[in-house]
Amino acid sequence: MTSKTDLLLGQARDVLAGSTAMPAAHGPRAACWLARAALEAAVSQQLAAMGHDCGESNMRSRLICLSSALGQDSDVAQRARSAWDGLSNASHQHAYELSPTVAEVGDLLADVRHVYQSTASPSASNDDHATSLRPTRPGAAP
Amino acid sequence: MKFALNWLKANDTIIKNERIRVVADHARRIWSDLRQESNVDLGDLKLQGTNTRRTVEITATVDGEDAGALSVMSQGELHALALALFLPRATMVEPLPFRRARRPSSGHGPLEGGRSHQGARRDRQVIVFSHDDRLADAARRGPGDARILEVTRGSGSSIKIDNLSDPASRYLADARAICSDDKLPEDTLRRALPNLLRLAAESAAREAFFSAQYASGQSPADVGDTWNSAAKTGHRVSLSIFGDVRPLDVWLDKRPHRKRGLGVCTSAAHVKLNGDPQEAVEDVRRLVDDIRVSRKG
Repeated sequence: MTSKTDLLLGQARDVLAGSTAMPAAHGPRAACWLARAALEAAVSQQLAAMGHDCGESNMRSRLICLSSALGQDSDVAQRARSAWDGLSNASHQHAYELSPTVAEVGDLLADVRHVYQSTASPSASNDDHATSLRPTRPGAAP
Repeated sequence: MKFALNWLKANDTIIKNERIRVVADHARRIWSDLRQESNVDLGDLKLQGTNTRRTVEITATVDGEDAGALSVMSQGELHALALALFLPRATMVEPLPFRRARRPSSGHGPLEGGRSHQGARRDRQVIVFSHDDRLADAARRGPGDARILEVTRGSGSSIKIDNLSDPASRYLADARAICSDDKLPEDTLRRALPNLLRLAAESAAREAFFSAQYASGQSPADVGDTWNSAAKTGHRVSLSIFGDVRPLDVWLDKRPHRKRGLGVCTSAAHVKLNGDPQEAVEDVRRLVDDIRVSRKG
């Protein structure tokens, strides 16, 4: 069975590679939105697998809970946090920064995949409540 | 003697280049971390020339084609290259356990700057001076044990240094953040909170203990060993207050929040938090303040 995270990551990769109908200029940013949703799902799935119910809490709380549960030196928790920061940053329009490049988004996707693969456990696919495909800024969508 | 001197002259460059090869290998590794999307591949480093005319030759290829490295590189690439060459050389025979680098420059992403120092951070203290808030921002939001100080230079060059962010404050901020998220189920909150608060108290204790020991001239290795051999939070707090491990009862009894705060950090980390979460955070915050200011207080 393919999990929601897998599906979202696959879509992000396709959008980034330009193999979808998404105009190339918007590919990297759209891939970031998808990857953000994938990361949300992966983190919630991991927390659920460890017996931490995160309800409707916000992503910051979930990332903090993940660090607390995995230990302060956990590479996964750290990668999850920095990927979240990177993706959130890339999802917004900035005054003096260009949109993220394909290579930058590729790195962020690799981080999300790393988090997902280290946390994936087939029995815990309880990630439905976490996944919503909303862009960060409705209205800014291409 | 003359023969030896001649041999040395003839083989001087070869010997030097053997020594520099280590640097070149290390530099290539750092370059591959920093290069991001650059098409430039770093080749060999060679020392050339004799007496007062000595240069370093850096070879590089662009998309597999030979190119003189420096002439084809952008400003950001040059900065990354400078860092790639500086780091291995600085760590080769340097006796000091810390390193100072100038700010990661404007043509150089903040995260690259952070990453390049990360490898060195394992066995060195890294100090970065910067006018650019982006690296500080990455450190503030990201995980890790970075401490951010703000240096303000007033009139007459009077210097004021403020502590903007350190690990203990970030753990406390994390603790407050999950407390104020009312959509986080209480059970999860009660499990996560004690860990964060324990880390807050321990990082404050570590900071206080290490700076006091360094100031009194202890060697970093000894200080590290003493710290690591005190595994319990109470022992670590004791190190920060008294410089050694001893019963804390008298110190704890002086202020009620100390005992409650340490209780949250020690016992609660193994089970769930029992009391009021907000009060637990407040108790540990005051405990952290006490650790920071009081030596034998």
